[in-house]
Order: sequence, then C-alpha cells, then structure tokens
Amino acid sequence: MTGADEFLVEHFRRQDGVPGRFRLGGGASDRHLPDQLFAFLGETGGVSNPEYVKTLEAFSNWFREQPEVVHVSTFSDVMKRINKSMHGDGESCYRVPDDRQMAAQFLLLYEMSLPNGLDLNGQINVDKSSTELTLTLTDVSTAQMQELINRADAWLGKNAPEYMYSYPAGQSVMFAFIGRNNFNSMTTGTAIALILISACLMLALRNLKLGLISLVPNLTPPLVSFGILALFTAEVGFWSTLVIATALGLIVDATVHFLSKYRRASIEQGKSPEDSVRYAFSTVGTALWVSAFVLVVGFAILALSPFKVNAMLGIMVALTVAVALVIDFLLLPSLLITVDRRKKAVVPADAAATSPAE
Amino acid sequence: MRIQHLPRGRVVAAVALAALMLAPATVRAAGSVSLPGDPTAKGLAIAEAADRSNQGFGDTKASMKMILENAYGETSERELRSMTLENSNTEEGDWTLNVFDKPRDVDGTALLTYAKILEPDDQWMYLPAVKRVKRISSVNKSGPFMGSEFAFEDFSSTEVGKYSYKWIRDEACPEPVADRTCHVTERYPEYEHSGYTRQIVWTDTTDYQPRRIEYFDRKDEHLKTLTFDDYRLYQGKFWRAHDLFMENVVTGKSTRLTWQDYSFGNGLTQNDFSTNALKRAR
Repeated sequence: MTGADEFLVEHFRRQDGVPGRFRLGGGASDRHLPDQLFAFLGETGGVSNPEYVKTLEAFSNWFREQPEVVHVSTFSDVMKRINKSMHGDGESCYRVPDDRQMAAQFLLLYEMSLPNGLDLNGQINVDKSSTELTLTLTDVSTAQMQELINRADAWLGKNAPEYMYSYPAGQSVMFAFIGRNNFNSMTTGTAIALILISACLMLALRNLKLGLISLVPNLTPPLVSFGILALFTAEVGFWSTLVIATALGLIVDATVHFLSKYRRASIEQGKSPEDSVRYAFSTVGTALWVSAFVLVVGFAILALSPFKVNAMLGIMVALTVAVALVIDFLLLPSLLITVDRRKKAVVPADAAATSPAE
Repeated sequence: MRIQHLPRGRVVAAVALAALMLAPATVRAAGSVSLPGDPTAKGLAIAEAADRSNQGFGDTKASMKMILENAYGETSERELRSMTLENSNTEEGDWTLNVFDKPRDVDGTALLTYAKILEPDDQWMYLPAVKRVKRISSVNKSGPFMGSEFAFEDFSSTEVGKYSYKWIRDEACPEPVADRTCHVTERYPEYEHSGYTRQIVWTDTTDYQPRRIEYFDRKDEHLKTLTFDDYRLYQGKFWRAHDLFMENVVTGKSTRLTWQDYSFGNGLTQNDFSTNALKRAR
C-alpha cells in the first residue's frame, strides 16, 4: 500500500473506457477553472487561427502515439474534414486551412449545414476561443494518469504558445485526484480511529496493559488480509481504505468481548492467565465465531456486485473478519498468557497496582 | 407575406387590395376576428388572423444583434444585417438575405434563403475568403443558427401551412403584458424534418402577435421557451418584436436577439435576392 494506485475504469467491469478531457484554451491561460474562464479569454474566434489549429493537430497526434490513449476526438480533425470537402473532396486537402478568414467562413458554412444534435456547441465554446479535446483512455491508474498529464504538460510547454496552455479536466482526471485525496484522508482517519479505539478500550477495561494488547488483534487482521491479497494481486484502490475503516469497527467488537471476559476472570476473580482464557472462551467463544460467521457470509455476498468498489469491499471485509476470528482465538490468548505470566513472575504486585478495582 | 415580384403598379394594387380586404387584421380591428368553436378550426383561425396581420409588408431591412449566453454567464455576440422580400405565393415562404458583420472573421459572409413551407429551404452562402457561393443542404431546419439557441425553423417566417393547430384555452398573457388576454394554441409541425413535436403559442388577442412560444423536442420534452418583447408598430399596421429571448430550459443556455433600424418599403426586388446579389451584398 505505497499509494492509491487507482484503477478507476476498472470499477465498473463492463465499461470499456471513460473519456478524460483536455481543454485547450485559445486566448489566455485557463489553468485553474477551465469551465469558468472562457469568458476572459483574449481572442474571440481564435479557433480559426491556423497556428491554433496546427498546434492542436500536433498535440492530438502526439496523444495518438501514447500507449494509454485509445481514441482522440479533436476539433483539428473537423477543420481538416471541412477543408477537404470545400476543395472538392481532394485527399491532399485533408489539412488545416492556412487562412484564418477562410477557416472561419468554412466553419460557419459547416455549422449552418448541421442538423440538431450534431452541432459543434459541445466541442467549441460560445465565442469560439476554445475547443475541447476528448481522449478515450485504456484502464489507467491514478499514477499512470498523473504521469500522462505530466508528459502532456511537458509537451505543451515545449511546443505550444503559452496562451494555449491548459490543465486537463474530466471525470477520470477528477476521480484520480478524488481517489488520491480520499486515500490520504482515510489513512489519517484510520490511524486516528485506532488511537481513539485503543484509548476507549483502556478506559473501558480500566487497564493500560490490556488496552495496549488490544492493538494487536485490532491491527493485525487488516495487515494479514492485505498480505493474502498481495499473493494474488498488487493492486489496491479506492476500496482499500473503506475495507480498513469498515473492518476495524467489526473486529474491535470481538476484541472487546474477549478482553472484557478475560479481565473479569483475571483481575476480578484472580484466576491464572490460562484459566482466564478458558473462562473467556467458554463465555463468549461461541458467540464470537457465530457472529463472525454471519458477518463473513454477509460481506461475501457483496463479492457478487459488478461494482468493483462494493465487490472488493465485501471480499476484503469478509476475509479480514475471518482472519480476526483466527487471531482472537489463537494469537490473543497466547499473547495474554505470555504477557501476564511474565509480569506475574517478575513483578507479582504489578497486576494489583495497575488495577485499582481489585 | 408572399408577394412574388410583380410590376410596380400591380404591387401597389395588390397591397391596397390586401389592406382593404384585411382591414380587420390591423391593430384596432384585430380583436374583432370571429372565431369558430371547434378547437382545431379555432387554432387555425387564430394562426390565419396572425398571418393576415403581417400580410402586405412588401420588404424590410433591419439589423440584428444576437447575444449568446451559456449556463456560466459567458457571452458571445453575433451581428448581421437582414433583408426580407415578401412572397405572395402562399405555396412558398419569404426570401431573406443575411449579411454577417460579426464575428470579424466572417465579415461579409452572406446567406440567402428561399423559405419553403413543407420542403427544405433553398439556401446559398457566399464566402468572401474564397469568393465563392456554396449551396447549403438544409434538409434539416432544426440545426442551430450560428451556435445560438435559435434553429433555422424558429427564425423563418411563420407560414400558416407549416403547422396544424389546436386551440387549448384563453388566459392572461405572459409578462410584461399580463393585463391582456392571450389565445393559447398548440401547433404541430407538418415538416417531417422538424426538430419539434409541438409548440405552444401564446397569441395576444389585441394585436394577434405571438408573446411566447414553448418548444417541445422530438421526445416531446420541453426544450426551449421564446419570449417576444418590445413590439413596435410600423406603417400603422405591421408589428415587429425587437427583443426575442430564447431560453433553453435543458442546458440553461440562452440567446437574446435584438432588432434595430427596421425600415419598410425599400423598393427591393427579386434581383436583390439572387445568388449574384449575394456577392455584392457586403
């Protein structure tokens, strides 16, 4: 889990491609909110400028060479097609018109001939200063998307006049950044949740040592289940942060039950660690595995979802809950016995000192 | 609006005759139109009355400014000059020549339209950059005009034969003439390539001019609303709206179209509306 390597397009298994969009401004930099800034572009009608269209053509051709790009829909192709049909459909005229007035008038003629729904309004802004370049990409991760954006940036910096520079916008770009932000904040949130949960357990059990021990059965199941996942695939995404947050709430439950029974036997009734573990097993053991079983079945059903976020969430939470049960039944008792026995042997009065209730 | 170019004397006679016959269609008498009770016949009668109110205008010249606005409030302007020649042949629509002034890149580009009723219009465009006239295939009148919210068919002259009609109700006119009564009629385009299934028209009962039109697309969903305002009277009988506001209720885009410098009786002839005239139009 070194980063949120997001396979957005993979979220929906049946979807072939999600378009990412690069807007190419025509009069001024619309680096920040491209949708909002068209009105401030300097040059009205700049889309007929041969320099603009040729740069756009070169940029589109560059995109077509990129391995991540499946399809490029660009205004420069429209202009070339119009130029060709205005010159008697000669193949040699499939190129960008050299004259600005001519290009603008061809474009007007073309627009006048278009039926409803096929107009260029979706591709050119109202004052004809910007056009939209639409890319259809293969399934790319956040990291690959970012890398493509950086390469496109570098190309623009080298080959395009500054006024044409623009920053990409669109669903997949947006999701890439949302995914990354989500990953970062969920990671922080999960860490804070762990700290708070352990603090609550310390307060509830009125015992620092048990509170610290509780960290182990809470933390290890997600690590183990992601370890198991890593045997099959190296991809984690949007869903992974949800898994930890969701699973944590469920596995804490089992930990609390086990530890509170252990505490009652060990501290309140003064039993040996082994007997306390036996007491915990006999009182909540059945309840724990039954509830874990129900949760595993419930979440496993989500694995049937075609929406990848839901499916992976189901699989991973089920796996984590199952792992948590194994850890609660095997690792936690051993840990409690080991720690308590050593403490009792070294400092016999310690348990009484840390437990004012006794 | 359909006087084929005739010898001058006959034009005058025809206009005089039309004015005589259609006296009720002028401002004062428009309200006295007697309407049949049947909704279909009544709808048609309203459309005919509206059509009569504009008959005999001969020719007009005017300049037009379009302000396009998208959902974000970004605007863009187009300007053109327009000449119209009335066509007396009821089988055909009027002839129009538009010369574009703005955007600058299309300055001098001119568009000639011979409007038809149920067939595609005949259209030609002159491109000054290549000094050539190109014929436009305009089977589809539903396309946007210069990227605006107006389609060709929204612009072209309102001929009675373009639609079938149904009167729905009478109610108060939309603002800013809410004190008047309007006929609300539905009309259904007869032209098979129309972009609409129906339109709802508010026709002012005092002057038989449209006040509002709602357009319903091919899926019969409300697409656009056109509001007419700033009506001015010319030659004592011809009303012209100077402010037309088309709002697309789906996309939030809108186009305001304002007319200026209307002039009637400019003595225009068919010669001014030929493909050769296109080249001289600038």
